[in-house]
Amino acid sequence: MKKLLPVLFLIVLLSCGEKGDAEKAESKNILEDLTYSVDTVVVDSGDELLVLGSNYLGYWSLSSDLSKMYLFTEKGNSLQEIDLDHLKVINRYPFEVEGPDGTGTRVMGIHELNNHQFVFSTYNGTYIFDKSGKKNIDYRLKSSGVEGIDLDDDYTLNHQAKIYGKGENLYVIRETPLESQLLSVDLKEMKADTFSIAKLSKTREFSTMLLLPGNMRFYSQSIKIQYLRDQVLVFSPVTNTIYLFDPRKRQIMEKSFVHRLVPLEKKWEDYPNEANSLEEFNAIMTAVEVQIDYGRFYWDDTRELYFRLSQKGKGIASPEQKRNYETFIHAYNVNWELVGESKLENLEERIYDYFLKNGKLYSYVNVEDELGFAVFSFDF
Amino acid sequence: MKKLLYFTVLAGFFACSEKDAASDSITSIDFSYSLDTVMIDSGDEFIYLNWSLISSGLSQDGRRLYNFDQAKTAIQFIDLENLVLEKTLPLEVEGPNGIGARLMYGIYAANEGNIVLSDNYYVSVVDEEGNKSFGFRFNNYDYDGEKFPNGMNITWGEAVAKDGKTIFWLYGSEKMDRSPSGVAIFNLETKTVSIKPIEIFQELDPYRVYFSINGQPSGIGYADIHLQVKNDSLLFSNSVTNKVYFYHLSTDSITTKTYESKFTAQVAAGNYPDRTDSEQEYVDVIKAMEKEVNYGPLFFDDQNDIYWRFAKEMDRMKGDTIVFKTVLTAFDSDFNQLHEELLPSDFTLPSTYFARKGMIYTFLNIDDELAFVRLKPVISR
Repeated sequence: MKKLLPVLFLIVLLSCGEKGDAEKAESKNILEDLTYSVDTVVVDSGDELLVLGSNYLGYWSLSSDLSKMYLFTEKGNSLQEIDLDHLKVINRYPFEVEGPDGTGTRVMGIHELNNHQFVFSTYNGTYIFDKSGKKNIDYRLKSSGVEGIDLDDDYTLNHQAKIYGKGENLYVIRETPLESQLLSVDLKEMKADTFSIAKLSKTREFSTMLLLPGNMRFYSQSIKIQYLRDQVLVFSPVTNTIYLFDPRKRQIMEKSFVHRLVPLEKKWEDYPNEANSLEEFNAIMTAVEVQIDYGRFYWDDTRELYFRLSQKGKGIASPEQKRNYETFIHAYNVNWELVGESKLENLEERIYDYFLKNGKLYSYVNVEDELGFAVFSFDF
Repeated sequence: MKKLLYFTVLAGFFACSEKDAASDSITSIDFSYSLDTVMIDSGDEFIYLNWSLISSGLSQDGRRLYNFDQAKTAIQFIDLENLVLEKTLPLEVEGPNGIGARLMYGIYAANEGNIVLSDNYYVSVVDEEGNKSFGFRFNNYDYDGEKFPNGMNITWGEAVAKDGKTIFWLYGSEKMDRSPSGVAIFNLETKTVSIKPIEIFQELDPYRVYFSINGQPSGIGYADIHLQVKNDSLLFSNSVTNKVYFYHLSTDSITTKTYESKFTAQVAAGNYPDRTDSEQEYVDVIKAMEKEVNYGPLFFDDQNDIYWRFAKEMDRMKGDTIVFKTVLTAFDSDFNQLHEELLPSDFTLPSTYFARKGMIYTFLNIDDELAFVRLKPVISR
């Protein structure tokens, strides 16, 4: 059923740009002379059977020291623990689906807390499990039970709900008719603070669906939350603008960057949120896919830089054709100033699941149904 | 849907009397039909056709078709006696008279000129002047009765009772990766809900394909369930089998009738993967599904006292396009099959059709004007 993703990341050495000696006068682009090489590594699954999607890894996260990867698999409802230093599967933690220790059927994210328990972000609630599969805390917060917020619809606060670090706060995105907001709920006091993330509000426009008899299609973009170096980052694929939330100071900061290599945002040209035909649905999807798409952030402790990738689809002649992508890498210093950007030449695949470790970019590849990574080493 | 499907014969006459009467199981009838095409005069306005009349409903007296204009959030009243657009009734989204959303999937005629609107989440009842008498929001009801099992919720598929006071919703896994698990009955008057698990939908699991990109649901291919209310029964049929199910509400029991066709497959093959994260594979599966037999809903013709049903199946490929054969089947009011008619090869079955005054109206878009190809059956028993 599945075709192996062509591992085009064979060992290649590419160089982009001339290594000139000319001094860069003003704002220096530290990635201007970026070169990279790619190596492929495969994780030893040992006796454990890794269950992989063919194109995407699904839900996964890394331990805070980047030594472990936790990969959730729906089959068996379990977490697979991968030792990234030795590239070996070392554990498998199964969880119940139903009952008091159940995860439910709609797991939408997993994270490890400082105390090595796991947070399961699910459609129904946010749960904290220990490794034995016991559910220690079940957060199904409703605005009526939290001081400081009052929502018309008393939904469970679960839209991108995340708990990080010491597990003190729950972060969740809230959409009001006016704008998008970040809620930070103090889980001890059950009090919430609301922060405007208005520049990300337009993300919700990027949504369309198609309902045909026998065929429903959905396409949407969403605001995302991540945790990096004790900060909560809120970002969206549709814009370069991000929000940095400092949980200790309870302050949020908006940051925009002057990218020169890529457009600053995607545009939604008032496409219908309900396509009238498959042709129209595909056309809308394509119109968004060929625009810039901003990814997550990573911290490179070897260089003391933040990195983020952005990707942009190329046009295709017919819907049957495979779409190629251009990939860009952007670097920011510790003060969140853009210090460099470059195109990753000769990379045409869209990459979805990747992270930075020891200054190298690891990107998931399915190597004959084994977990593999294309490892990019950068030189600049 | 939007694409113009030209029906080449605008007015034709086809007749055939039944030659092989023995092949129809219990009863036999003489059957012939004629076709004509009528245009609706919309004056200076445009009738909303982008959804191919999918959100439309016939008034109880059969005189009007209510068509929901998704662009303007309005109901267009189409007078089928005089073939004109009679009026457009704009509706509010917010406020005390608001219907809760801009788009509406279902529009149903209820007693006393009431119109029930649903987007599968907000339900409201308005009269022909647009005054709202009832509103219901799915996430916020405090009805008495049974709760959905964990991880389950209403899903696609609903029916409204004639009095407009009971709504039947299919329910199932929230993820929609499996066939529905049963039907939830919401009584809007007594504010009660009951949940009825129905196992027969499981037979549709082989036709379900769940497509996700990076964990995000991106497509669902599935067999359509046709759900309708008939007195104290619910009628279920589906697009992939030649059967009708009757769910008897009072006794909580199910009976079935199985039919045979001499023109189409009894059942769609449905040999598909149950999930994929490859768009190409998903598109291929949907294409393969399209070629298979597809049984439409039964619809009642009160003048002839007959339930009609269209079915289509790939006849052949012409280049990249599927050429379908279309079959019209007649059932008596006890759901016995009376007759099967293979329609001419240039008959294109649209997504919307209904019976009115002894004729079958099938939707046709002619240069963005509303037309109906009318099939007028002549039946002698």
